[in-house]
Amino acid sequence: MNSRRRFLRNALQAGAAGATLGRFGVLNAFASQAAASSSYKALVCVFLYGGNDSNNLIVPVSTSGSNYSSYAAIRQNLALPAPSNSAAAGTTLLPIGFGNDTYGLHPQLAALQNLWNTKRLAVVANVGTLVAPTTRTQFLSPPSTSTLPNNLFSHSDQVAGMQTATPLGFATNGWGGRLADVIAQLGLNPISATFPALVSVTGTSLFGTGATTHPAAVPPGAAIGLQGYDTSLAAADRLFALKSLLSQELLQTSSGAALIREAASITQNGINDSDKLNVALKGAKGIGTAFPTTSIGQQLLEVAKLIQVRSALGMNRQIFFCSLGGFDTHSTQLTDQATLFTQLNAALVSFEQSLDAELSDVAGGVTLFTESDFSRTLQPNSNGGSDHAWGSHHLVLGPGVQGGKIYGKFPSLALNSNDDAGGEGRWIPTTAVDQYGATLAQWFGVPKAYLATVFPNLANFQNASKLPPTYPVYADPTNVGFMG
Amino acid sequence: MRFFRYSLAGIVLTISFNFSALGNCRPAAVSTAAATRFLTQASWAPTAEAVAQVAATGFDCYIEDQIALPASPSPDATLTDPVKQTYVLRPVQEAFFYNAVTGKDQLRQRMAWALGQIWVVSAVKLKAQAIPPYNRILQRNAFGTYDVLMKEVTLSPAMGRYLDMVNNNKPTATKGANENYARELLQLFTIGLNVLHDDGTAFLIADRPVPAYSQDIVEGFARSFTGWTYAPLPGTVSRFGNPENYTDPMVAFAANHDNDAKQILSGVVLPIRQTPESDLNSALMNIFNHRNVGPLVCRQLIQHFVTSDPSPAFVNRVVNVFNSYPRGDLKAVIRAILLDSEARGGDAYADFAAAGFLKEPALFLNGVLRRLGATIVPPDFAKGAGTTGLITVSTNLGQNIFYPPTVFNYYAPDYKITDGQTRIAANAPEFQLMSGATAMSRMDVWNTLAFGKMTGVSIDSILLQWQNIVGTTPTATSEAAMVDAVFATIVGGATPKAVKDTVLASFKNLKTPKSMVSTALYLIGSKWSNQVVR
Repeated sequence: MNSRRRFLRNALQAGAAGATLGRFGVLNAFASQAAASSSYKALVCVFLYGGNDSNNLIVPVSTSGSNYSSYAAIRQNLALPAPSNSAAAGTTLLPIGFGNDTYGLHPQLAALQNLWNTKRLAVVANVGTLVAPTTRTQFLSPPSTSTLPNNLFSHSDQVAGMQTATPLGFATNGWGGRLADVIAQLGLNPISATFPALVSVTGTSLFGTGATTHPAAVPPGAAIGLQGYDTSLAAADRLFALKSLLSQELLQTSSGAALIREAASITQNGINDSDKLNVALKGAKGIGTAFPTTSIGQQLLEVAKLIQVRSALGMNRQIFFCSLGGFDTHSTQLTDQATLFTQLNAALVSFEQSLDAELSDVAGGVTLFTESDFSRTLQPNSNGGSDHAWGSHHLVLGPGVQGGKIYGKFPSLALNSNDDAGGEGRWIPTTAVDQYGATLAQWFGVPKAYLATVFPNLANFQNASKLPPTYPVYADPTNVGFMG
Repeated sequence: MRFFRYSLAGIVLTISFNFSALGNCRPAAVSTAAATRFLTQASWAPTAEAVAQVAATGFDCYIEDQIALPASPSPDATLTDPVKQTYVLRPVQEAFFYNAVTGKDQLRQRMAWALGQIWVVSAVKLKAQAIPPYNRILQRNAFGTYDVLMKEVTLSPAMGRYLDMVNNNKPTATKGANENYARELLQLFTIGLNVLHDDGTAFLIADRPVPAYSQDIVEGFARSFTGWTYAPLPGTVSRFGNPENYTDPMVAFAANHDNDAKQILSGVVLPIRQTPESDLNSALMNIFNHRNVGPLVCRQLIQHFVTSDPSPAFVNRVVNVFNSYPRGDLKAVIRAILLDSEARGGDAYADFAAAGFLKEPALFLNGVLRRLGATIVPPDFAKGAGTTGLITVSTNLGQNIFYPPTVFNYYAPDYKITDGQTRIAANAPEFQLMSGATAMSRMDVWNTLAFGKMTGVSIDSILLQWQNIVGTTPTATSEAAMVDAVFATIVGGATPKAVKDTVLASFKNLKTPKSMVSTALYLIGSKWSNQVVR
């Protein structure tokens, strides 16, 4: 089936599914499809494993809501020093303005301060896992049919919640993977593109596992593909035999052969994907921008390389998954988070520089965003750290971002407030990860009718008039606005 | 008497087994195939010697013999800079592989490694010198009772540092107690998130799982565990906030302990003004006696030894043993796991085998080395210098030994895969490390062994043996015989026709016996059927 026919089928299915395509819907959709194909887009997820304390990522210094004094009073030994012109670099909060308000970024995020000032960085406040809008009253006395995510404050469950956007289920696929499924269905990548739309540069992840598509895993800096093959006939014979044996294992049907089949299938995909990638990388110009040698630096360098060879891979849409771990700061938080933010800051600025240099022709189509397990308690513990919480502030950056703004609603920095799930400053999210992701997905080219495939609970948030007064006012709650 | 039994079994008796340990077991000879299969579960991999022992005395006596064996040596990390107190972990990591291949205490090693994947600490955060004393706790308690293990780990400086129980001070009006150890002790090491039936399935109300504890209870335990610090170094005055000491168990300071009442599990409230020691003992016993401990622990142990997706009935049978007196007896538990009908069902009929599990990288590597009779350069504890390439290889496969990424281990026990044919999702924890890249890396391991050279590792002896089967002038018969020999060693049993045809066809441009042996080893080794235990 050629790509036009496949597209028409998909568009018709979309129409049947109730999409508001209008009288000339199919044709109009085809026109926008053509436009979408010509402009490359990539999403880059950076997952901060361990639960990043976003209370020290961005701090209200002087705002219409909370001020530095309320922050410092509750944070005590974990409070970062207020902005100061006379202090040494990297020791005090870095001021950023938003309207009449002043916030401060963590002292190690100087490059992000610049990106804010050039409007390439947006902050989305208090994002987290939710099944439905939830108020403090509802949280403290859950209704009989509970609508809370499974096992709040548990790393594993909340990582799964942020990566799958199905916090009630035992999901076997993630929202990145389902987004890749929909991209394939919509024909947003040409049918000739057989390389996976989703690439993880940090091993396997629930985020990248689709229902119908598989992710590729590319370890940064490593040789790609099977080792030990030269151009000899003997090597060709050996490879043929290896592939035959894999095919035999894929066909095994005896009871209990499921594990063998799955392993063989992963291997077969790995061999096919790496063959394509090696061909594509052969003609690559390479990335001249210097990247840090840290894990996150090398991951983002690999992402830049993969974006660079997009045409050789035939891709119009790519999704990347990266990670940085170590944010579970129950003790020695000030030094540990500063070390991690130093790494993050350096890696992000290199990535943005490579967008302006080697990738300038597609820079506007590349958007990077953060996720994390959860944020941490505003009130510190007695051990120089903070404990597991819930809603967290996140970063979105790239030339296509409507930057220099805070989206969503910043929680009131007070214990036992309406934003607090208890008395220690565990913010109840006021923007669901579903809304955060749906904003990115729509910018990526996913029509509203397909959003429910990727974010099954989105419908619980899409009626602005039904959101509680503690929630931010969005004209369209499925689009938080940071992508325009 | 025992001599008599061996004679009956008709087994060569010159092999010197450790007879001293055999006590109350019931000897029962089993087939070589059953013994081989059993040893893929109960050891790193079968060897001819171990197969002969199991075939002669049976499963039960093998287990009893193993339980009585002392642990392989587990020396401390190497001090390379006495001024900066820098220690190197590398020889300790290499000893992990070396012991697997040369050590007799196979079941203890497997058990300690499995327990270490429940009670996770990691050199990602910890200093090198913290790891060996912690490993020795796991070795020592591998066949003890679970409550003793709980207490030894809880007071170990390695876990104290890893999950922040060390120097966890009593809370104040504006600062809570550090919740890290309390939360993960409950969630990962003992009872899990949700109320469980004895068969390991979740107890449901209105189709939803019921949380086993609330945030208040996490805080109750966090406060119970306050007031502990490192043991004083010799010749120093002890105070709260002692410098790091990874040798001795932590010590308590009553002044830094929260002595208010604490709400813990099962409706229990710890009374006010208890000492740190009595709060800790009460708290640990309160957890140990929770009915979830059996299902949580037994299910994960079954996953490490027999199958990723055990039937609820299997879990229940093992949990009944865990719950019998003495409660939490790991010796009885591992015996129940390995002798269960679901574990042994595949001995006679392959179709009765449980789904099995994918070998994790450590089990894969140790198994390969052991099956091939590899000789390994021993670890260099004196200098701390590396002697083999094995650490790099296991890291490439996704498992840097003693460096799991987080307390959530290298993979999660409930990680699932969806069967491409049936669309049914099933637990398969080790698949969390399986990407296209790491899958190909397993084949690269065979490539290095067969065609190249792995630093510090030699399999020349078996390669030569196989080359001799091919002979200096290869014939169709001698080539086929060699393929059969490789298959029997790596996978076991007779070579299926399709496999044999495929491997032999790949020889058509090969001239030397050496290259044929290498090719056969690479191709047969790379088969996933030998990397799944079932």
